[in-house]
Amino acid sequence: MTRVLSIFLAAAIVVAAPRLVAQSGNDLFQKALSKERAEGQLDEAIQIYSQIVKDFASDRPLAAKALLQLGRCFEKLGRADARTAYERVVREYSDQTALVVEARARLATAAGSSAKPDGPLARRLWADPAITLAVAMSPDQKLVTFADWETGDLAVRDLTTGRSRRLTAADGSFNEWAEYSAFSPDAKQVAYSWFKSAGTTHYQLRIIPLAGGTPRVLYDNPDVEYVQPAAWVPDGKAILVLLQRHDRSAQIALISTLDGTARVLKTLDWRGPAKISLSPDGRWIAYDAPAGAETINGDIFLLETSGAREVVLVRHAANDLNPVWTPDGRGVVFTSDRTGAPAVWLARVTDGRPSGEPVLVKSDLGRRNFPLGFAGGAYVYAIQTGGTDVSVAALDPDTALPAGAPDVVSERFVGTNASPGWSADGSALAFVSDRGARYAQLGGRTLVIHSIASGEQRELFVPMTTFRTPIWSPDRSSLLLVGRDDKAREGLYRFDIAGGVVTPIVRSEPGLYVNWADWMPDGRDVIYSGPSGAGGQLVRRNIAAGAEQVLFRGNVVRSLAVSPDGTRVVFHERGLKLVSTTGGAVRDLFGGPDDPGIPGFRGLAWTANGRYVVFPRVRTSTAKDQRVELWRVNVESGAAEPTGLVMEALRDFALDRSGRRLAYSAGARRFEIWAVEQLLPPAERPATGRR
Amino acid sequence: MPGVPRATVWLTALLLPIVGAAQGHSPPLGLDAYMPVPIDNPLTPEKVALGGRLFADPLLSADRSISCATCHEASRAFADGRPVAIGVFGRSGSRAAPALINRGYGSAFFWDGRAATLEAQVLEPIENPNELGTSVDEVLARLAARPDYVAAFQAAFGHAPRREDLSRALASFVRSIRAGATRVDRFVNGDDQALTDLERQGLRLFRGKGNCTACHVGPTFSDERFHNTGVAWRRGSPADEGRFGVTGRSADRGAFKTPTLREIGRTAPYMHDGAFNTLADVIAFYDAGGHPNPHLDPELRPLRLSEQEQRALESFLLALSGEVRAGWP
Repeated sequence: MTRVLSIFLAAAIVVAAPRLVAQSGNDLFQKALSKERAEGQLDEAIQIYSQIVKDFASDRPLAAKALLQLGRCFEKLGRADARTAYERVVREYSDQTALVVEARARLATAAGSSAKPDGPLARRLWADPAITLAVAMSPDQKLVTFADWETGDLAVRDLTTGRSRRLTAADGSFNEWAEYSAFSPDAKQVAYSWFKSAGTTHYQLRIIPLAGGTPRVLYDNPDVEYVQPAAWVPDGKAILVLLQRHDRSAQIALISTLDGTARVLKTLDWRGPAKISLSPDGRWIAYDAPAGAETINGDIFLLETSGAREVVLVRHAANDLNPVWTPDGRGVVFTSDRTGAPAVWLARVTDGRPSGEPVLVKSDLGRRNFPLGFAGGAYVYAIQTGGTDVSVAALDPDTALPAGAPDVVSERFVGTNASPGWSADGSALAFVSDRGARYAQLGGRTLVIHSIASGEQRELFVPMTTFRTPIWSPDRSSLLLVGRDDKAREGLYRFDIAGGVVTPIVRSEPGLYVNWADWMPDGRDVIYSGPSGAGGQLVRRNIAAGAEQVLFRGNVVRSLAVSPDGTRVVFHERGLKLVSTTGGAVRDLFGGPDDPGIPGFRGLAWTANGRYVVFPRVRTSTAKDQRVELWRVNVESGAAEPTGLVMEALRDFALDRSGRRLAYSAGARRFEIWAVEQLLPPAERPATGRR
Repeated sequence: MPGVPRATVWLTALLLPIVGAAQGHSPPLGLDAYMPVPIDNPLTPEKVALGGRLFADPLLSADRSISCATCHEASRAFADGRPVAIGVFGRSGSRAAPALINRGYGSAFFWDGRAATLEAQVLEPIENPNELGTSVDEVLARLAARPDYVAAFQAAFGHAPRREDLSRALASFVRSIRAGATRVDRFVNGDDQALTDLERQGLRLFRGKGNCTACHVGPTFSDERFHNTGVAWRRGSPADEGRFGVTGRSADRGAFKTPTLREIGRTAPYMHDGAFNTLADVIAFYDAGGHPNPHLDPELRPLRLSEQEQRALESFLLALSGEVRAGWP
């Protein structure tokens, strides 16, 4: 059996105990603080603080500090262990006077006193690797609807029993799936967005009874690429939605639950709102949007549902996003980075107008957050933790077998880094760091160029709203990027590294996408995969002349890679296939339509001698087991075997031209739902708020 | 906030409502329900009616020979079919009269965007010697001498004609001119039979290979921004400075506001100076990547459209004609 080198990348595993002991206690403390405060990964922070208390007991100031922070983490999770931790500080570390004072103060408030503290109290409602940010909370805070990524179904979880059930019946092929949802005012129905790929490139809005039953298609417009339900109006006669048109404009609209007709209230450009929220009386919509053509940061606006009036609620140079109406309709809370890290602010509203300046109500929300709204009196939000990072491992250049342990190269903005690409001479790696507060926003992604020799990292602004899979040109002057340009047009682009300029190579038709690309060795041609009508194709294109040659037509072509000598291209379309870069017969290399084991969009690579192609293969098909193994297939014989490289949640990978180094990004994203009680200042809390 | 100097972080001093009401107006299909209206000039039937009457009245011109409607004819989607507008005493302007449809949704007025509001825009032609060629004071005096107008101003504003009321009435009428309900609107709202196959191909080209939506986007088919296509460029320099005349920025030299494409079948000739008589000419101009010049908009590049694709695009553009409404509904 091939030697197995398990490469553990998920942040939780990176901080496994044997590595911890080797580091200094203070280093560990800083790491735990970062987990706690910057990344919001409380479970991992608890693990490290506990380790410090145990392994560095002789360093009493440090151990006491760790114990105190341990209590804070427990407190944030709403766990009673907080009190135990604070009591230990008081009892066992009486020599650490300042810390004892602080522990006593905590004991007198959240952790132990029967009296409620006055400030916000956060507690985690649910964490599950199978959910994403596409969740909705019932008004009574008991139910969560979510997109179940094991099947693609819309599912509901009862938080009181901890049980989940599916509401829809997706066919499991991931040709159809649910995304965002919204509860009806009586919580008996759910509106949700549903994608069905057979012959379409757009989402529908559907309604389904919460008790189960047949879904009803409420809105199905081929010209609307995406529909996202936000809220039902109080009488249940319409649903407030965000629409995204094929011309890239975003629209705020009301869709009648009676006949499915849409009434567009306002059209915005491609930068459209991140969130829209309906006031409790149904009269006002709060939304975020960039205030001007030259701005990328959001402001908060109020729009009357009658279409009669619009008001600027919050105008500030910071990025203000995610407005949510307070339960009494007298304010809008929103997230803002004006203090540095994302925090929650309150803007008071009187008769549809701002009343005073916004006030900070909660700091430290976490970078990738998605507020759901108020439920049961609490402010509820989903948050992403974990994420991918980039590592490099040594390989045997001829066999693609492992020859050393991997090193993480992306040490800043941990959990945001992916899509490594090697320069032709192997001296540098480019990778993408997804740092923005919201998806597909100009400046949200940063291109990082990492020098292998010095470890120095250069960060470049790429004027695209989103981009992925950077692939260096043979002369190192530019990178191929797949993604959306500054006006959100999908396509394949060339980024000039010195000039910082993006030029289109291929622009996709609306609703269609370029999937992957690679350079021909001369740098004059590229080969890209993209859709062609209902299927996919592999195309060779001369950049200067725009002349194209279709090399293959079939189903969706996912990853591809050009051989080192430029004569062949391997690609993934219902199995691995080979075709000459000048066209001709296509040869099946490995797998086939009945083999679901090769995940798409993760990359393919040739060994330096051109004898093997390295490809990813999943070990199981469940969403909870995210291990991916790299295999190699002999290009001549078609014989395939595992390389022994196993990654947790591999996202993508690249081999350098020498075949000696493998760069990859991996790591699991996790999602949690949190509720913050007592978010608002005491005078503005709802009288019926749940405690 | 990272990347933003503290000094630039500011709280707006006046967080005031930016718009008022457009209630009572159900827009034609394809337009937003919300249309910005200044808080100090809400639409009323009286103002719209008065504005419409003023719009068509030659009393506003120096020699009482022409009115706003002379260059903005309802039957031509409120344009005039000439390369450049003809004013009093046969004087020629330097630019075409733009189609005045859906200007209530606009955010920049005139081809060079020198007016930020309709209220600011509507008085300029009165005083432009190549257009109506008189003065606002003269017009107010003429109106004051007309009991019918005095009564109409009284009904609309509660007093005799004033400068700001003249502006508000005219702006209210222009705001009431709305165009929509085209076959394209029906198609994008779910009627898949509304366009022919050729027109549907044209729509795909419009949004895709033709890159038209880089500028002609949204319900009005205009981004309300300024672009240099090179159409004003003659022998190495711009015949018309365009937006540069407002901003003084060299990058704006020869740039003009993106016009709406609604009702384009009725608004020939095209461009700010009527440079092209037909849509086919316009499409050929863009297919070639515009006219090279130092400030050419980076969105313009050769499109490599086939002749058939150019016909499809033209066919789609002609489907952008539908219903034009003016006045209080």
